[in-house]
Amino acid sequence: MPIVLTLDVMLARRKMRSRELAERVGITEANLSLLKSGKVRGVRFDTLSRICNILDCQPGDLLRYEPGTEPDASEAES
Amino acid sequence: MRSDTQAQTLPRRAAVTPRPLERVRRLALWVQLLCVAGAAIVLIVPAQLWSRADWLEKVARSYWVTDIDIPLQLDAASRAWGWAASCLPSAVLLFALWQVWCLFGAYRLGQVFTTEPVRRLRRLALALVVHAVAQPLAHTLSILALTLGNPAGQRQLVLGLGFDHFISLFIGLVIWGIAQVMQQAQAVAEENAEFI
Repeated sequence: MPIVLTLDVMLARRKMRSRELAERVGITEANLSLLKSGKVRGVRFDTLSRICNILDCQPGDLLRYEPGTEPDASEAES
Repeated sequence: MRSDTQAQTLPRRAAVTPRPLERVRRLALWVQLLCVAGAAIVLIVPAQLWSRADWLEKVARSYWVTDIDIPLQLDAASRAWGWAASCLPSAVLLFALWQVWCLFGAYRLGQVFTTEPVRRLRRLALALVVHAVAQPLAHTLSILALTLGNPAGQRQLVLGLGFDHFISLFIGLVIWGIAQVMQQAQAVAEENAEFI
């Protein structure tokens, strides 16, 4: 997936622990861990907006596009 | 003023209304209890019927062999064969009840949109379709068991197809269709779970 999440970088910048962010966003620590490692299909806008609000940043500070293998359109639909 | 009243009543209503999954869990418990009762009936009633010659004769004369000129063989061996034949749809029914038990057991565990309920629904559908075939077959074999000892010309080979067999087949096919839809729902739920 060419979309890379830089949440861990932002967490380090804000000196915040994953557990605290998970609690404040209202998701489990396991899900936050999946989010940090990019092992998710997508991020809901409300989750993203809560993270941006807590970390005082923009979505662009958390997401980065790296050219690579694009997911197949049929794969995305399934 | 009006909005104040609404604000006061809303939390109370939310507290009283049970969560949907809790309602499903309660319902599932009742369905599982009904499965136990159903299984007991499926096991006990045929055994009682085929072990009591007087009751069997009454039932057979009323519904199966209504022609008084045709004698019924009610000896132990004939009744044992008849009971064995009746075990065929009973076994299918027990299998169907087991699938319902497992299906609602999964619901009680909160597994609503997972592979388990889909699998159980498919097996239940299959059991009902097989039951639609097994029941008339067992009926034929039961009557044959009760008249096989008769002299030639008085043995009965009856094949009866009724509305209840059609209903069993129809419900089986409907549940099969629901299982197909549930499989799609499970795929959607799985995909949704991958979004955080």
